[in-house]
Amino acid sequence: MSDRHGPIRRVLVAGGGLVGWSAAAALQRRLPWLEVVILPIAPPADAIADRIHATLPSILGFHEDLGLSDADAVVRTGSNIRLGTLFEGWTAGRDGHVPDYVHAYGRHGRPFEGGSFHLHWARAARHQAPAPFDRFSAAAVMARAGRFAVPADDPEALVGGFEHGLHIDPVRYAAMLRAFALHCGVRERAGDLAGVEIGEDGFVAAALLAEGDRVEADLFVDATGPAARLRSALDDARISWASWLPCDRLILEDAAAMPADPLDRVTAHGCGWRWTGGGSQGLVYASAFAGAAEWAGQGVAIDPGTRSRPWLRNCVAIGDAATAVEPLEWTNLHLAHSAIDRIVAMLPGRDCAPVELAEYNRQCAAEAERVRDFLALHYAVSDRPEPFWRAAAGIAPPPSLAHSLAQFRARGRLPFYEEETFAKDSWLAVLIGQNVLPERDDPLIGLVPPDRAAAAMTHHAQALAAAIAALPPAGAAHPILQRS
Amino acid sequence: MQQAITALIELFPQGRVRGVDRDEFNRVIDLEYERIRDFLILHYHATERDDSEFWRYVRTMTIPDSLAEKMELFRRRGRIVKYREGVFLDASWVAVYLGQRVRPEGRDPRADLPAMDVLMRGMTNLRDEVAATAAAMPGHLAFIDRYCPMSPTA
Repeated sequence: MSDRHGPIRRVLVAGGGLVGWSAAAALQRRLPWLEVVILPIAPPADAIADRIHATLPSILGFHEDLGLSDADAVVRTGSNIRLGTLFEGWTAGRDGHVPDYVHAYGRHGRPFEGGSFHLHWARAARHQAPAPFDRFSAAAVMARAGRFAVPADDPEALVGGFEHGLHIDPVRYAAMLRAFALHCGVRERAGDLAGVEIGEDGFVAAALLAEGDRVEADLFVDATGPAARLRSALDDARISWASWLPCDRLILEDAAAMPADPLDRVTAHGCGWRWTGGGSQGLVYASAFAGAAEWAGQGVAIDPGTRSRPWLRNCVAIGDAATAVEPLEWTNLHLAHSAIDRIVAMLPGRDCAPVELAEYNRQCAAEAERVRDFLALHYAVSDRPEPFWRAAAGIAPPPSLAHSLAQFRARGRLPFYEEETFAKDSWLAVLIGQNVLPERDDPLIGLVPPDRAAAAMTHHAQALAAAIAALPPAGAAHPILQRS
Repeated sequence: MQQAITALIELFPQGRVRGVDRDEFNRVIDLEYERIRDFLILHYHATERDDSEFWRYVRTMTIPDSLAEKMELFRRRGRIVKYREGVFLDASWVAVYLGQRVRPEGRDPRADLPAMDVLMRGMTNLRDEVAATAAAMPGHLAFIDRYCPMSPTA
């Protein structure tokens, strides 16, 4: 294995959960000349990307790239439409009222009189009492109402300009991916990983199996969860995000009997949050603040952070093996999908030239850091009074999040970042949902008479509510099958 | 210029100029210029001309690391470093690389997927289609006369 000229031919994927099967299927399907072998080790309990039911809209694009139909990938796996998350109690309530907001994926209102909708809303919020911001998002209103229609073709349509994700059953979904991957030509290799053989050139030469066999490959894809059982043989350089993402424990339970609902509920508690939705429920908390809670000490550990170089030589870590974050906003599987796409698009030669890997790692880092920022935002701007929340809000945010916050607070502007997972409307949903508002009116907005702006907003919210009240219930069928 | 005007409108001060607006304007413009700078340097640096001190200098001068990495990625496999924010998109970079005869030494393995004759046929058809479409268009002056004529005295 000393001569590393030529193309990559043989790939070994380690990991038999959603991430491993997704990687194997995508690599074999999209780069069909590869010989993809998978070591389907059962995902460990702390591999969050392999276990969470709620997914972001990007999963549908992942299916499309693989040529997986909705009938196969969605309906036969028992998946359901997921529109968004209801965040309850993430800011301090007043007079027994628990504040809430919905984060769904898509446009809020429409720009009018030459100004962004959210700037009109922000001015109104300072002087009047407009309807809550999420009442202007078609996806959020549908989610609250439990109704659903596919987005209109015209993104400017009243019930258009939004996306949705899915609630999946990870076991059934992984079984579907496995069947698809094997159909595409992926070969399964039974056995457990016992060690990693490193060659003289520092590249991984082979995965060593418990049974004594060795499996060679040109490229090793590590989807084994946070332990990164292949990739960690090369180095363990990691950047910790523990100060910004303060929760370090996860308790996750399946709840199969739960009725389908397009809206998850994510409720803050004294030292973290709990959720219910999509056939699962769970609790995330900071162990240092759990005190004598009945669940203190339970669950799996989360060590938030990322590898500075997820791809080193001929070994690339994906999913929780690359970046470990708590499941808030359900980004773990999305980050894995994104890494898989990037491997397909940027596959280097057998030499895995450092200049090519550096570009891969640069994009992964930019993406992961903005996901970190978006999650950290939920804690950084909370005004809940408990010691956990005060400590979390007291930490200086990462510089890029501090920059976004400063720009938004100054005048409602959100600076552009490359490789951003969450669109501007998602940032607005959380910022405004957690009571962060610009300190000044935008000068252009200031030219519009407040009553005229208020009338336009009221009209929009009423029209949206009426249109959505007429839609069918979300759980009734699989309306996405009606899509052409 | 237009980018700067857009940023200026977005960050236009009310009353006094605030540091938060000023710094953000400068940050946005710096980033924009860094990318334009690399794109312009590419025109000079990626040359085969050897017929004057000037061209010999720009051909061999030290270039910014950010451009050296971009050129190396193109040379190796024809890859364009992608930025969503930036004046010059993929097609512009490809036009200058190939126009100045920077040829990738390797390629994205996916380029080998279609059979060579299918690929050649597809490219020939595309070229003919583009040529036919362009040939069917009116001349520039004829278009202006029809679309937005101006009287000679204006």
